[in-house]
Amino acid sequence: MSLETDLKDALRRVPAPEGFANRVLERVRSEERRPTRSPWWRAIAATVLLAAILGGWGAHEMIERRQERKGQRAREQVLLALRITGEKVAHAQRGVRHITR
Amino acid sequence: MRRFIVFGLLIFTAAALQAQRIQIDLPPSLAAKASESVDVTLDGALLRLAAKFLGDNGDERIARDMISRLEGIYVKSYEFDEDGAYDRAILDNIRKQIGPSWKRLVLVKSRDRENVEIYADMRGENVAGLLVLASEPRELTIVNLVGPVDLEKLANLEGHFGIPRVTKHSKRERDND
Repeated sequence: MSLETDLKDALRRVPAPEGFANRVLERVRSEERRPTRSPWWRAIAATVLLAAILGGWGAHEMIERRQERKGQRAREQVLLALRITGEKVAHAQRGVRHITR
Repeated sequence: MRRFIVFGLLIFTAAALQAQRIQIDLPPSLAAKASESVDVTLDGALLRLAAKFLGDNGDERIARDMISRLEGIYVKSYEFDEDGAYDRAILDNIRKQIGPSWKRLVLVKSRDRENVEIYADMRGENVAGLLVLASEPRELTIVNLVGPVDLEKLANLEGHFGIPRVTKHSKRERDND
């Protein structure tokens, strides 16, 4: 029977202490007012993100420009090489035509 | 087993392509002696890059068509202020590299003007490479085109790329241009 008595004791309705509800409400209000994170962190995170984006864009632009310079140089070299080759082949053709005429 | 066959084929193809390239090893002092020198070294990757920058008009379109299947262009050209500034053994060293698949297409010899030799690496009926040796007392030019070369297009370069059209073409040839 002592178990029943213990349970009754444990589950007995106990009135809340004086001002308990007010203290709870006050605590909730103060939690709402407190900022969750410092604004410095947001600023730093935004700066890092912006720097990463700008850095990536800058690197991409630099690679593109370098590739374009390389491509233009290769284009000029192709034209020069074909001009030299064409000249020599034309000279040989003229030589052959001159002999066979 | 299949992997080995594919690997073997790749090596064979690479070796076959390599065979068309002629090593133009010239002494560095040659460029120093020359009054003008041109050194063009374009491998397959650079040719593909160059093709992206070549336009659709006139000479640039012709150039793009010509290089579309090439794997390399190597040109060395020197002009000197005096006769005999280079050792003619340079040409012999290059001729030594010419393998049995290479055929001489043209040999133009002149006592006082430019000598031109044109060799083609013939693979069946296809030309897989071209070598041009042009020499005169004050000038030396070596050209090696690696990969399939359209000889007809090459022969029709006269009149393009600033090459003066001296040869009189027949009406049929002009119509084809």
